[in-house]
Amino acid sequence: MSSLAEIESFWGQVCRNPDFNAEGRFKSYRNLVKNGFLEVLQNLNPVANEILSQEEWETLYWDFVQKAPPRSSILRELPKEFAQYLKNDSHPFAKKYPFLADLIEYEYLEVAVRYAPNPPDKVQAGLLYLNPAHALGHYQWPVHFIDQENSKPEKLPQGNYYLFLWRKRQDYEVKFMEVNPLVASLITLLKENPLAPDKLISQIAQQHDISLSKNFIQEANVLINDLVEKEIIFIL
Amino acid sequence: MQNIHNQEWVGMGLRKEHSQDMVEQLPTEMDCLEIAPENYMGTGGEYYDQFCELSKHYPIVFHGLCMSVGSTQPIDQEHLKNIKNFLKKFNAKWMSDHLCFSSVQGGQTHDLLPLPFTKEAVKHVSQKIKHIQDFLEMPFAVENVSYYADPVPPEMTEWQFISEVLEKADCPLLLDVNNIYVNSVNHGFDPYEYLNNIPLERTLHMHVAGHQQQKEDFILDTHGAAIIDPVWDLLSHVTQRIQVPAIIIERDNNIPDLKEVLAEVKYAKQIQKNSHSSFQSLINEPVQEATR
Repeated sequence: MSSLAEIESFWGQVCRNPDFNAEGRFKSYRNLVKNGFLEVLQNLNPVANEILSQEEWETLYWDFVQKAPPRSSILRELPKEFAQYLKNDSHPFAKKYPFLADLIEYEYLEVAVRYAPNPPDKVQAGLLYLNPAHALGHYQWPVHFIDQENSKPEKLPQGNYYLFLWRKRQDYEVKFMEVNPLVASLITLLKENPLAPDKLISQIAQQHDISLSKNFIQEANVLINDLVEKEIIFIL
Repeated sequence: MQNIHNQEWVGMGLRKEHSQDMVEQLPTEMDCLEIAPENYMGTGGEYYDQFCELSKHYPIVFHGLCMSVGSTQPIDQEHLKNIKNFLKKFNAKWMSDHLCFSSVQGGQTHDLLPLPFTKEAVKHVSQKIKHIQDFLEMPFAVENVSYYADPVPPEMTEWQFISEVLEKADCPLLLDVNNIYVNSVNHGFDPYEYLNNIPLERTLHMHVAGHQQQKEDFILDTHGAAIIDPVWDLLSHVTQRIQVPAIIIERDNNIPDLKEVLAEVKYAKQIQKNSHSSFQSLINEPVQEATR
């Protein structure tokens, strides 16, 4: 081993291959990298951290860095890459914790929303804008009900869960709520483009094959007002 | 570059634990703040807003974490472009990062792994630094890192390695005196010999930090404790010889009250101030010949 590329490869072995014989101070490096990753993953995923044992975290860590070494230079995106690995690769606890990929991604969304860009300063009057500090997750598992007490897969009802997270503008609090497919499509429509309320309502009605009755328009306006009050959408 | 060298800022690395207190207090002990662009670019929310508010009151010094100048993989141009846009937005005068691997074979380590002190590494990192400097259109300072082990026998000393990189890349130095102290204990050399054999005049930015002594001959560079006297002495040795545009106190672990970090900022300022009389007498003396 003498070239820079060989030395880089050596460090790759030290950091990512638990079977590679790293002794003495090289072992310190292995532990520093591992502990750094685990600290971020465990701190940013408090619910998963309560459910998984330390040994299970370590097993997942080694599998993760070998199969899908994280590429993002943004440290807070580590859980996002970890969730992608859990989804794409068969991980060691896929049977014991089949909800893990959903749970880790859901917990990451809270971080993503906390750090998401602020709303634009200038907006066009009369149009509804979606708060840019938001995320919409679609899960097979009821991740918002999972905790240490409720983590037995056989007791968790599988389904279609749409969870919307957003950050409030004044106090920066991140909130979440379960939304139905109709609200999910409203959010998706506004994500594409800001729309005037009447246009938004007619597009939703069209998408869901609902007649544009007086009653529907009235209910849709109530929903829009509620979303404005919650700071999910805003209008000048 | 000229106007940068006329300034003498002392400040601290901004940590989110201190942001709110800083916005409320706007401490006068500090002249500047250091941030990692990676922690703020493309974001919004509480910490970003606090940072923006602080940027109205203090000049910002930028210190990156992930450029990985040692890595044989090409630089991530998209990342570099994002960094450049962010630096422009906040009127950066220079950028800095570490002289090390922070990713290996394309995967991030989120830790700093040492480069071999070889001619090949000098050539490789100098080219990368030049590329970064040209792209960013501003000075790009590289930091000497602490390290615990060498995978291969070195072809030169650490200070020869640093000097050659700075010269070949024609870039400034981010001089971390704590890292020199840590390495001097871990690898058994005289830190003053190090300081007296690097082109100190290239120093644009300095770091001072604490560490954890694990054994007599082994220190872990934790940035999690108060700065010890031998490290302050190294700072003093440098400020007696050159004017340093920015001296930054770093604290990354065991984050104490803001008060405690500000006391260290104040102490660093005092060292800088006391050095001025000595500096005047040394200003005409070649740095290479300066003694402790």
